[in-house]
Amino acid sequence: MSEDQKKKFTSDEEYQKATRRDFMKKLGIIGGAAVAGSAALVAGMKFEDKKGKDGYIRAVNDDNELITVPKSEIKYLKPDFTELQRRGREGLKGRKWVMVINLAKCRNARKCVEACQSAHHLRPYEYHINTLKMQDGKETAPYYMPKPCQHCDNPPCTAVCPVNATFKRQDGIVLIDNERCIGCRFCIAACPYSARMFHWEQPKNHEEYMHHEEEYEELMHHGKINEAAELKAKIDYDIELNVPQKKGTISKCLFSADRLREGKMPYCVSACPNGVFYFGDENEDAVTNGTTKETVRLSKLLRDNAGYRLLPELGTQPRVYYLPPKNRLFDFPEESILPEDGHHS
Amino acid sequence: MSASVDHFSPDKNKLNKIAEDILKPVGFSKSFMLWMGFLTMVFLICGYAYGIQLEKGLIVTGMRDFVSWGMYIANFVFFVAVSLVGMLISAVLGLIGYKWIKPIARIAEIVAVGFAMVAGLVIVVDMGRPDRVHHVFLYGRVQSPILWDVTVITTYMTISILLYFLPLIPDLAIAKGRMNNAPKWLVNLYEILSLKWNHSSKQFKILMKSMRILLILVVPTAFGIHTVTSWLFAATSRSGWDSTIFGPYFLTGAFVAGTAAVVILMFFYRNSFKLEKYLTDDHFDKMGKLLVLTALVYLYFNINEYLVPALKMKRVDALHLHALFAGHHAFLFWATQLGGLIIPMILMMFKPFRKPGVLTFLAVCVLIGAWFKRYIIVIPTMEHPNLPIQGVPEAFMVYSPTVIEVAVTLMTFVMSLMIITILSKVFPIIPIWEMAEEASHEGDAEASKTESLPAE
Amino acid sequence: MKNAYILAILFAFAVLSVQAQKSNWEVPADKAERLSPATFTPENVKSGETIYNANCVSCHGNPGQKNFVPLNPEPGDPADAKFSMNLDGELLYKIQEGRGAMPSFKATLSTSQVWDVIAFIRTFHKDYAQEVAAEVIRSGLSGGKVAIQLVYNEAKHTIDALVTEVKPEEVKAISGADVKLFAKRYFGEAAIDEVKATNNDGKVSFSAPSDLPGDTAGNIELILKLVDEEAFGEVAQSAVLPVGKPTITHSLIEKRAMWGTVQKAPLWILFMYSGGVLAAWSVIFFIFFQLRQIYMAGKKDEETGVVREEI
Repeated sequence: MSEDQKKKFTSDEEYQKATRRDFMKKLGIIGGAAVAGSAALVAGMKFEDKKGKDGYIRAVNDDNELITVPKSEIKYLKPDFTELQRRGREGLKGRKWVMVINLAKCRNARKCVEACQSAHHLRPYEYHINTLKMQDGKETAPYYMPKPCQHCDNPPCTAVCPVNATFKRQDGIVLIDNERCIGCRFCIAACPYSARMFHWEQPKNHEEYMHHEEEYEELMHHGKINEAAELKAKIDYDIELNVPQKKGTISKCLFSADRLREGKMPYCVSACPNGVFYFGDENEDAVTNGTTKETVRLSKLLRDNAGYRLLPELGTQPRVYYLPPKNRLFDFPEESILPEDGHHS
Repeated sequence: MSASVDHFSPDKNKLNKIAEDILKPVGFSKSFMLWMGFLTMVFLICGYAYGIQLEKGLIVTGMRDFVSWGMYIANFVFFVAVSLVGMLISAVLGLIGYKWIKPIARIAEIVAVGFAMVAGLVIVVDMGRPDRVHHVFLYGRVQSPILWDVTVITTYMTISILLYFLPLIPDLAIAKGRMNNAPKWLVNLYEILSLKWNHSSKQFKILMKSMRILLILVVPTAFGIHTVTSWLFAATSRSGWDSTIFGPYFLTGAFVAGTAAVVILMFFYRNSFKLEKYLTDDHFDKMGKLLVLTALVYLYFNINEYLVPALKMKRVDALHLHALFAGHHAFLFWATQLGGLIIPMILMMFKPFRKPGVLTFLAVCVLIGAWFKRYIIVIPTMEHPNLPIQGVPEAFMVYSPTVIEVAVTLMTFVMSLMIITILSKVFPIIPIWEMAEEASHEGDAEASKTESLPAE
Repeated sequence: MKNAYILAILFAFAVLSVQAQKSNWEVPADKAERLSPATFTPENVKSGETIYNANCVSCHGNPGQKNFVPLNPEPGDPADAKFSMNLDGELLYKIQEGRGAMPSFKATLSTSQVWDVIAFIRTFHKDYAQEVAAEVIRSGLSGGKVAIQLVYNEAKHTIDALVTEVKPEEVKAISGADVKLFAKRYFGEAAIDEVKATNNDGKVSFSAPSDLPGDTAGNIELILKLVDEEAFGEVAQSAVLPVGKPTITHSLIEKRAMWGTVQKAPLWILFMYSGGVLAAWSVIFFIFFQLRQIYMAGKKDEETGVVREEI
């Protein structure tokens, strides 16, 4: 609210009311994003205005009273569960994420796999992305192929989900909500790329989370609301990271939706030492290499290098493109990985 | 049931005799208690196995990320398949006007009810989060075949219960005055469920009309239930499932399995309930012929289903077919096709093999074959995805069911058997009034003169 | 015969020398002679180690342990002579430019970060003694600051830049300086056109990328950078100009589809599903009603005293 606007109000009281209204409108727009709390205040207190006296900030506490808080006392908390769910289902407006994988550069370092598994709390044999040894025919050369979820524009997995637990967002990401999933595994059956995994047992750091839950109860019990709130934010389910993982639900590659929101590239893309991955926004016609950070035109990259997509005959229209393994930088250890009959088993 | 009946005027002596025969096995005998006790025990043991699964997760099964549907889903398809026989016998044959199905129709409906009721539970058993079943109703997506399946199973189960219950109403009215030794609660139950039935022509008119409507409605519903179940597979692009004939293929297979199940139950009732007079050799002969017919149609679909992809040998299809014809699953494949379908079918073409005992044995072969056939449809396909399976433990690549999985599957069978057992001991297994009417018509034409009910 | 022999030997030599050349990584002389502007401190080494572990260790392994990844060509161990033989400038050039499997770190690491990495590597080279650049000479400048103006020439469809040196008393055009133009994208900066040099008036002109998507008005944030860091320091100027293709973005979930949410389900399936359910269940409820009719008929008979013979 500007100074001019302020002049229109006759009394401070009216001004307060107006700012309150203004604030409520803002709340409506940001959908009740709970963002802050100070050491003295209960988490869930909402900021009203970033202006105010120097070093102070105006905010609304849980009792809907306008208060001022010293800036030094402010702690920014992670958005709460409801907000995470809302923005996670909505996605980033105006974006169309796209990944390009240059097969000529992959040497099976598996750094992408490791980074992904560490970010999403997965065991070594639980994959969101896996590097596969591929060979198309006996006379053609074998090559390595990183295979994340293809984030199809015509996703077969999403079509069969009975409860809208897996869904496509406006920015193209196919996400999974493990607070919703009933564990029927129809999506696994429907996915032609074997991109999905299931938590057959308690996920990797289940015990750690159980411990945090207990700690949370303890803190609440002793009235340490601030510490409790902080811990809660840590253990709340983040749909864009799919952590904590849950027993009996599906998990899959998310294009690191949580990182994209912060302007960072996915975990796997950033971790690759060999410049295999490009990631970017199709709307901007640009992708950036995760290793060299070089940004190139997507259309030119695909045109010049004969980019292609996996199993195009299925009409799934993936958002992941591959550049053929031409002039590979690394030799494959074996001459052929196919058995005598010429088929992958 | 013939729809022309609107006066019930049976020969009294014959009715008495028939009612006596059929009501004799009703009630909780010692052998019933023993059998139920046994079933309960097995149920509890298997229930414990399911408890372990709930506790530890589906890790206790043989399923993993690649073969993510296993025995449970195969079993689900089997349950749906068997339940379809209610529709085949009551509706298809009934509407055509075959009279010989009258004593069998209720048995077929019992099978339908028993298996349809448990089918829904079988799918819950397969779920990773059974505690979230209500999500299907809260957040259901109409585009998902699972939602169609849930809907159509519920509908079919309701119609089957009605198809079982409606013809039972006159029987309950007949029985309630004749149940001298029955416990009081059973008499009361009959009193309530007979809905003040007094054999008036008005009541008959309503009953006949309702039955006719239901028999017509059950046909598309039953087609729907199994076609939709087949779409759980055919809606994917996997080799072995990606087929346009999966609906009729499943449907005809269902008729084979259901007919075999009814034959087995008929044999059991005939011997244990002493109903040789009502379930005659002729009935078995006719059911044998029906089984041959359904098996022939099913064989025809089998040939289509396997031969067409075998002619082309597309990349993954070839792997899949190789595993079935000569590879990992060859024994099971040929055992089900030959021992569970082709050989029994050929034998049943000859009259001596349609005698009750032999036919029942062959029906058992067919039913077991039918179960393993579903296994063969579900598992090998999942072992051959489009992209290679790499970097996972050995157990991820090949599926082998665990003891717990077998126990939980057994539990579903026990539940079905319990429902069937209770229904066949609480209520008469053969429609008394229809048999009496039939007998009266056969005996003498003057039966109608002796009694004349006031018409409304 | 003898000639053939000689030919064969010559041929072999030729092949070998080509191969030798291939493995020999030539660095332009002026680049090779570059020196770090400051003496390597323990802080530099520490920072270099962190950067090395994040970016280099996955191929080169830990220095001195020879645990590099066995690739062809070999990445090598930075503690080895192959590395120590390099001048500081050569190492800088190779890390920044990359070749083959060795990625370019130009866009990932700043020059000072690369110097830190070199400082770290040099701790493994026994005989190394650092030479520091005598003085940082901003050769392109004479005491002033660089100022860049970016404008869009709509008629010629070019992006024109004016590069000047601003001093308190005068503004002087910088001529002959290499400049590069970038477009800001979500994850980085995409180069537009080639590297160009300013003319005598300090002007340079790039052809506008008309097919590059901008916002709804075609606006793109452009960044002009001076290539020669030695001469000018790290200089960049950005400006938002309407040079691109006006782009209206569409959500990927606008249309009704089988994979959409229920709200976005195809109409035909909504009608078929609800129609089917409605039809089947209205019949079922009709049957329930009929059962009630049966009951009511019996009850009426009972009440009106219509006596029937027992059956």
